[in-house]
Amino acid sequence: MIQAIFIPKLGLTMEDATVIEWQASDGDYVTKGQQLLTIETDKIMFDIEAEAEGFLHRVALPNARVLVGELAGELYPSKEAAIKATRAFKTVISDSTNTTSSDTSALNSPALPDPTSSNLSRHPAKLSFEGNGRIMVSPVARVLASEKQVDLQSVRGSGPGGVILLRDIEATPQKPSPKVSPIIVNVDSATASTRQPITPMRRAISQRMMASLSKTAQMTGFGRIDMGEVQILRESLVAQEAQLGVRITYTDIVLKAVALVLQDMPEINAYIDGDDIVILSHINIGLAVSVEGGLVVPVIRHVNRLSLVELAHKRIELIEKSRNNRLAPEDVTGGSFTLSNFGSYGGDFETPILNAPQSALLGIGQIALEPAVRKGQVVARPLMWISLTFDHRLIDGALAGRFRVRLRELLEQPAGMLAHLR
Amino acid sequence: MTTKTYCWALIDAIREEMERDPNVFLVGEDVGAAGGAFGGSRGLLKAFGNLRVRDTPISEEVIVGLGVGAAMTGKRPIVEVMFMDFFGICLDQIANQAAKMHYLYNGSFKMPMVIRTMVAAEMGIGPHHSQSLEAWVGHVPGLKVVMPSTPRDAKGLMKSAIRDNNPVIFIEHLGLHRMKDEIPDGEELLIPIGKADVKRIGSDLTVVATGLMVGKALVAAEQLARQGIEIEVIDPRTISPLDIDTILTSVRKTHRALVVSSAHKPFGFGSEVSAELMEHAFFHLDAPVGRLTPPFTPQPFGKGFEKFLHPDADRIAAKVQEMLR
Amino acid sequence: MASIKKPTSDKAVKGAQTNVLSAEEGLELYTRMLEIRECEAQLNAAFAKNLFPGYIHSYMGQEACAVGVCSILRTDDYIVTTHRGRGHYLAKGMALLPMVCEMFGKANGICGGRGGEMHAADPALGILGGNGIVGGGIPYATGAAYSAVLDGIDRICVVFFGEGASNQGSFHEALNLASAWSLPLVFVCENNLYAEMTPFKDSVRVPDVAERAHGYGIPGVIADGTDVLAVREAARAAVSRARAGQGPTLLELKTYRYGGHFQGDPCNYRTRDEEKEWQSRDAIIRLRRQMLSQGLQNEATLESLELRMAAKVAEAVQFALDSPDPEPTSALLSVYAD
Repeated sequence: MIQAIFIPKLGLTMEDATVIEWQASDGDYVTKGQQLLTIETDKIMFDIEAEAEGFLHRVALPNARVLVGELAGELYPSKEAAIKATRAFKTVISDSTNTTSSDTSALNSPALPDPTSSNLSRHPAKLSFEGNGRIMVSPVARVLASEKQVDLQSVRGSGPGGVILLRDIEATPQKPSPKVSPIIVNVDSATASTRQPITPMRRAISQRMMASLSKTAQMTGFGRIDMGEVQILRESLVAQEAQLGVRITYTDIVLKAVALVLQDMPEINAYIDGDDIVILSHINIGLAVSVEGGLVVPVIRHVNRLSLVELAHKRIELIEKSRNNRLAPEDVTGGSFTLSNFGSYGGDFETPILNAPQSALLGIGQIALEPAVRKGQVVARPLMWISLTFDHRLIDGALAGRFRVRLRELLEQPAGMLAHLR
Repeated sequence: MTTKTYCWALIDAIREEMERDPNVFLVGEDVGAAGGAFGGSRGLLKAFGNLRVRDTPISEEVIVGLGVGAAMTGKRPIVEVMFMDFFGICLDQIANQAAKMHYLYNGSFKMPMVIRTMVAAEMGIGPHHSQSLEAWVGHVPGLKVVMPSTPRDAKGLMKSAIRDNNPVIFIEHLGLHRMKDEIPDGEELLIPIGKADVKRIGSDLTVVATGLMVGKALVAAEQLARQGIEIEVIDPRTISPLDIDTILTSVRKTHRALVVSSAHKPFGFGSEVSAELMEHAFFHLDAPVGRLTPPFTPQPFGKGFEKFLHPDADRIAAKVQEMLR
Repeated sequence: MASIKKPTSDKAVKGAQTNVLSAEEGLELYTRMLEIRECEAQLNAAFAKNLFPGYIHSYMGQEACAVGVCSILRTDDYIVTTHRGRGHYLAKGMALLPMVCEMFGKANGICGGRGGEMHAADPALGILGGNGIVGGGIPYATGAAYSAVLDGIDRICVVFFGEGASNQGSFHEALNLASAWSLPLVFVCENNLYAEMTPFKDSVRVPDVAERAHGYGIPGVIADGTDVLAVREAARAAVSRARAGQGPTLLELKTYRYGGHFQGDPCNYRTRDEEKEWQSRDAIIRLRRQMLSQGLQNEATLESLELRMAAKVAEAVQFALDSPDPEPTSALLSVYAD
């Protein structure tokens, strides 16, 4: 009977060993307990003894790396059998360097199912992206989309479940494809043109302006107002700034006067809605405010019911909010009329564009000393242009003219305003 | 440069520190005469004698307690808890005593102690000898927890741990013991605690891997590279305090992260990394942070089960590909 | 309820000279016990007035144990104690003021107000802290003892614990290791008969903790915890053994705590008669009587001492009450050492 000699497992982590030397040769007779060979693991040297008697045939060669459980040799019942035995084999152990995973070996085991897959795991992975109508976009993609002003509605997501990923935004061109042929730049020109994308605010303004002009029959009528009495009134109010708690400005006084006129001429505080003309009961006047990058029009509600002091406070509040980008939706809606001060940038008279769906807009210019005729004499008077744009579909020229006249009356004799003030 | 195995690199580290500082000593089960249950302290008893290298009874609580008291009174003990699975026996001395001594007594005591332990996941030993419990100790303020994945890191971190004036849980992996690496000669190898290591630079996805998983991630990286995917592999090396900055820098570049760990997913290391990335790199993420771990079961005995349950290089690569879809 | 077993003289330490005492020694022991008693009384009163934060675990009644043992220790010897550690802190020489401030969780407490009643320490005096975990200190006392072995000097460590802790695994592990390694560690079990609110005798088969020593091959000694001189002699023998490298001793002191497990504990688990019986054997009263009867001190000296001690403690308590609370942000410091 042939007795096999195996490489024993000598420790938990032992996987292989090196054959150092044999103490007996092929064909030698060995007794039970006799030392046969010495192997070395990464931790120790070990002598393997014969477990029975017999004639030795060596299988593992000196210096060979052998695996635990591998056949090292055999003991035959006769010397001839031992010598005759020709069992050659090679040790196939790839010398692994820095990797420890046995998965990289050439052993072909059948692929195992993934234990965390949903049909095996007790806690199936939830689908990360569940649409339900929202645009699903990754955080970094959203950031880039915002920077590039890419409209997410127009992007097709390539991620799982249709989520928009960074690569989708990166692939989106920065500007929409131009419908007009590109402007040919004169390459000899001394100055270089610049190009920058349109901001959302600018886009909004341009869309509003085009809509207003295309949908209404706008025209503008002008007038001049002698602001001398208003100046005196204002100076007096400014002198009382401490008691009033606020500095009253020309804008406040003009707002108040406009509100009084609109009370008497409600047809101007109106708009066209489809087939109806809506005459508004409230007098909410929007104030055009220039902000960085464009224009906003916050609305002062019920100007007819506010005192000059209250108007001034409200004006200050809204301008501050405008400048700090903190206007709420209710601050910019519900206006029935708009006031625009060209004078703040040195303008005189202009043809302002209506703030749809309103039907009238008043622009006031700067107050400047100009020659005027009073009692046959040419004198210097502080004069101010007013520009009233109106929608001729609703307001006729005569009505618009009456508005200007009435406004002038109130402003040139501000005591009259007092008579109507509630 | 000398080639050393992970196991010998650790022995060298301990030996060097014991030579350098007579206050350093080592106690634990089988650390002396047997040279360590897994050979992890061979030669030390002979070199330093049986006061400084001493075999203890099987008494994890007092083994750690001995370290606590010695550390409080001027010594720098290294105590061994043979398998991390045994932490349940001595958690009071670790979490209530060692971790809190310096704090509770307002700095009166330092606790320069190393608790050396072993994770034997995937070694086929069974449910009580295979758990990776860094989350237990990472959750305790006052402890530091390190988990080296290479011989070089092991040596450098062990030396730093011994020199640190705080209790450091030093987690070895049994499966890494035979890994070989080049260790520099001459200069002292000190790797700072609390500093991660970028083991491989890439740009498509960040893989954060610990312990045994680092090597697997690197193998997966090679597989993926052949398909044109370059992953960045980060080995935190220290579990707590976690070097989140290195991971954040990487994710800001790659926009995707996957944590691969031998520990369980619920309440595990991956959860911590994921939460940190959520808080500090949310706007850089192009996909949710992934976690690849064994499923939430105890570890049954045997290699067959282990191979099924634990992530390997193929699964890591597959997960990366899934996350890049 | 069955009557408890009183310590009998045949279990006392052999050869103890409980009556040998010098005037100075007597006064020193008396002063130390008085300080603890006064402290406990006034802190309990503060607690009753809702001035004391958290729990209070009163040491009243057990003073002789702490004082008897600590009186023969060196400054560099270590002690480890429990949640009921005030007696040990004071007996080992912790300064009264910073200790009381710590009890009230004040910023100038010896641990900056962080530890409170159960955690005070002073490394310079070898006081290695109390513990919130029953039996939590016993394992690390072995380490403190082992430091002396490594240093090759005859410094020792004494670990105090109650009989309840003697049922924790930590106790047995420590006893085994200390015995196997002959550590210079003295185990002092203050058996006050009730572990928290459960009579000890209901939790064990053998009512004497000292019996367990035999299993570990070390001496188990029982002494009367209400006789400070008996405690001292028993401790002296145990400490000498330890210093001589002969290993640990398990010293069981039979004693009684006057208060409950914590203040507010209605003590429904023991009888008023039992309480009165033990109080009649009060250690402080007995020492006082002994010193007077042996002419070692006179009434006037002792009365004056008692008044001064009461005043000193009262001052300390008031000082603590007037001291500032710790800055809340200080909670963020010292989680790690540099």
